[in-house]
Amino acid sequence: MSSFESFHPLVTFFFFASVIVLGVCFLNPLFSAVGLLGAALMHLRTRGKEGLRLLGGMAIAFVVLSLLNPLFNPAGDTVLFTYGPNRPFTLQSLVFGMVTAAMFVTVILWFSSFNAIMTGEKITYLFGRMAPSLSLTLTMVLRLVPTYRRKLRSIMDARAGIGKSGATGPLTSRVRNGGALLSLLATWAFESALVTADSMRSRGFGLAGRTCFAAYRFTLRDGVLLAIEMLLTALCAVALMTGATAVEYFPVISLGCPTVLFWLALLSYVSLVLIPTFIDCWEHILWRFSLSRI
Amino acid sequence: MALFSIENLTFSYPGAAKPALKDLSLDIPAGSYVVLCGRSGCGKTTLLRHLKSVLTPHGSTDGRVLFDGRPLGEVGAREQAARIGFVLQNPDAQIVTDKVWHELAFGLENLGCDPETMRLRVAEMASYFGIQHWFHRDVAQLSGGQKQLLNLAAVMAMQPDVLVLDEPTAQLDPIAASDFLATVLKINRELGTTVFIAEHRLEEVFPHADVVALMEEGAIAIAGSPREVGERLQESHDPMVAALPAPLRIWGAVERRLVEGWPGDPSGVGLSDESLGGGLSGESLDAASASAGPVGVGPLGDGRLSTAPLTVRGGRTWLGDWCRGRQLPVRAIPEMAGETGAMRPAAAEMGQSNAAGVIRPVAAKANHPAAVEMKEVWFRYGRELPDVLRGVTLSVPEGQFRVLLGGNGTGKSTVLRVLTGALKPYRGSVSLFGSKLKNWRDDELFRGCVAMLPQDPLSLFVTDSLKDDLAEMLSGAKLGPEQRCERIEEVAQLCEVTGLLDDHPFDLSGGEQQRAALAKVLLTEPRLLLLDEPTKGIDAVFKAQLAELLRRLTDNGVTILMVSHDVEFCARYADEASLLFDGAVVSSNPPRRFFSQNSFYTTAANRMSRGFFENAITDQDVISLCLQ
Repeated sequence: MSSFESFHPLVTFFFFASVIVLGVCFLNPLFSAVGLLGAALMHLRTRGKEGLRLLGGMAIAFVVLSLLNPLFNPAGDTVLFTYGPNRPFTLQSLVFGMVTAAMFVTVILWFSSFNAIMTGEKITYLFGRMAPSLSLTLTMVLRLVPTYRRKLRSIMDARAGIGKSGATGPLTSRVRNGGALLSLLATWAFESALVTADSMRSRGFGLAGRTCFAAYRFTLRDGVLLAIEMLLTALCAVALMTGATAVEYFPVISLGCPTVLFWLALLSYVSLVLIPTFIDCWEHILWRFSLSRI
Repeated sequence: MALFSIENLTFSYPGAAKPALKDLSLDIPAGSYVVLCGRSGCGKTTLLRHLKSVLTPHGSTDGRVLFDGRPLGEVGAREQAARIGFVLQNPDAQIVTDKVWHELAFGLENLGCDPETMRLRVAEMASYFGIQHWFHRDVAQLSGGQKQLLNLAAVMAMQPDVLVLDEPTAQLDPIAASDFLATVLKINRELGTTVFIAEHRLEEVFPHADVVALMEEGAIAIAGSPREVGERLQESHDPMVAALPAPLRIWGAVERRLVEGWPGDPSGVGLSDESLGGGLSGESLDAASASAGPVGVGPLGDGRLSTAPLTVRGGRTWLGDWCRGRQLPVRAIPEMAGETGAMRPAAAEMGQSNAAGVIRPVAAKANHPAAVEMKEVWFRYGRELPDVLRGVTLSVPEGQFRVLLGGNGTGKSTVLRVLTGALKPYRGSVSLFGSKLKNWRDDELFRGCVAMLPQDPLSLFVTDSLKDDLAEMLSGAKLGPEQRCERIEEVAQLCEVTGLLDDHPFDLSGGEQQRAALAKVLLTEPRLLLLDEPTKGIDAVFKAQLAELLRRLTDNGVTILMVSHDVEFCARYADEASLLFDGAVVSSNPPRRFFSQNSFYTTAANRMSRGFFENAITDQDVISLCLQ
């Protein structure tokens, strides 16, 4: 449980939107590394031990994607080795591959944390007021997927109990089994949708003037954090747009001459991606401090 | 004044040959607790749905429903939404949103409540229902009982004047069902909310009801106080008697038999055979006493009867009086009566045998290897998760009907799934019919050895008609088309679903679905049948039919292992009962010893007769001891 979660959905949503967009836009190796580090830290904080599995998978994906790029793109001056009929494997292409792979992994990891923190209720709370019925539909759809998955599980268990698990046997019977499963799931989904519709109408859904239950309050600390996030994002965006963070990869890697804006943007980016970690540490210290006084 | 007045309501579904509701009239006074009972398919749901315009089915209607003095149609949608609360049967599908708090607020959001009021009402309801601890949870994480409680709370948040509940406990286990019904009662008593509930668990609602209305084929057959209805039912030998609370049933059988001249009356003696040994107590008992004399004219009106008890407490008071007034020579039923095939004591005294053989001898098959042999079985669902089975040792001889009782989460269903090989224990051994489970090939195992009936019978049906569904089971078998038809006919007859073969499985009633699923399972010709709570959500009459069917199976040598919460059913029909607690089998005994040892986890008849009689666990036991 990250204490970052306890902030107003608007604050957390802005954070994720900002780091994901910036993570895709920055092509500078330094910035990529920062983004990757921040995303990985956040992912581990939100998912705990379980998160190690995805992280392991991502590490493999990172290596594979990095190594793949030079195979497709032979540009670059520094040849590491050649293979096949004299095809070069270059350092520049490898670094570029690593940057794009980092971008890919970063975005995935941010989304993993996003899913853990921005629950369906928060999304609908944020966007609900723009389109109340749309947001309700969204909530219901978000609920349907896990419900169907559970039902499918129970159907499969039930059929396994009469020797129709579908896991073994010839392909034709497995396909038939799969079809039967889906048809049952569809019937079941239809039946329960009818009940849900009854339950909704019975409780007055469709009456004019629907309101929304506000489960969150926007307090001063939300305001402060949101302002900080906006400021840091703005700095990064300015650096991006003015080309202060631009990098040339081919034929040789050149980071250009780092300007003040470059350093400022790097500092902002580091601060931005580490905000959740900062907050957690800060709360941790506060907690220790207040405990020691009790 | 009546909150709801149903006046001469007649309703037919489009295209239906006969009306679903026939000239039905009923008043529901404000603040009352009205129970609607009747066999499945008698039109209870149709009637309830006429009490709220948005739920009223399409069809031709005659007569009218008045709400608070006005025709329901003239009451606005907003007013109806707020003032008439409706709770349906399915706990899962009724939930609309993904979070508990959101579900509580859903109705208020629809009514356009302002945020401040909404916050207060939601907080109030969460506190009243004790759900503040799971306020922020995902609804998916709740148990069935919690889900249904949430549905009730979500309706109550709108502060309705009347709660209409359509078999709300049908899909809950007995403990959750009791909790739910207790909450409904609390709402009625503390808030004065009118309650109109269709329910088949009559033991729970009977003592509290102001009015009980019995429906039969679309009309109200009887409406009156619980005692009146109970007495009238017993007089008319309605199969619904089986659903009455046990004290009321016992009282009726004993008191009325007395009036009819038991046991001197020769026709009366003739009865005991059926009533003591028969599978369907209510039915046979009443059919029996019907032949005994002019019932319904004399005995109830002549003042010789005590007041009918509705609860175990009332039953104990009555039984105490009864025993005080008489010298009953036999006060106990021998512990081992029954499973040795011996005569039951009271019957024995009258020179009658246990003809129907409620409990059959199994000793003859002692040399056979046990059907199920589990030794020190340990299982957990994940490496990090706690053990679910912690050294289960269980042996079920061939041909036995064994029940496995235990609370929620004690691993009952897990045991069954281990036996099908779906779950692999990490320690211990499992053998079926003398050979290790892991040595069975899947196709051998599920053709003629093991089959399991899941808790939700609907998970088994995959086609549009029951016939196709049964045929699906034979798809791999080497049989000609005629043989197939024959097999299907045979099993349909056994399970009494012959008339339903062309129906869509989803259109069947709960009890029919259960039997249809059983038919499907039986097509694999299992020697070991595993049942996961087959009595959940089915009415008393269907339960008796199910017991009959299971009996027929064990007579043919099938071994049955059934997981259940249903103490009454197990006491009455099982050969042996085992208690699973904390992942291990704590005790295994024939039902008589098993239940007479327990003081809470036992049948109503046993709780009622404790201290007066020993080892009496079923209605018949108590009745026979009373009437010796």
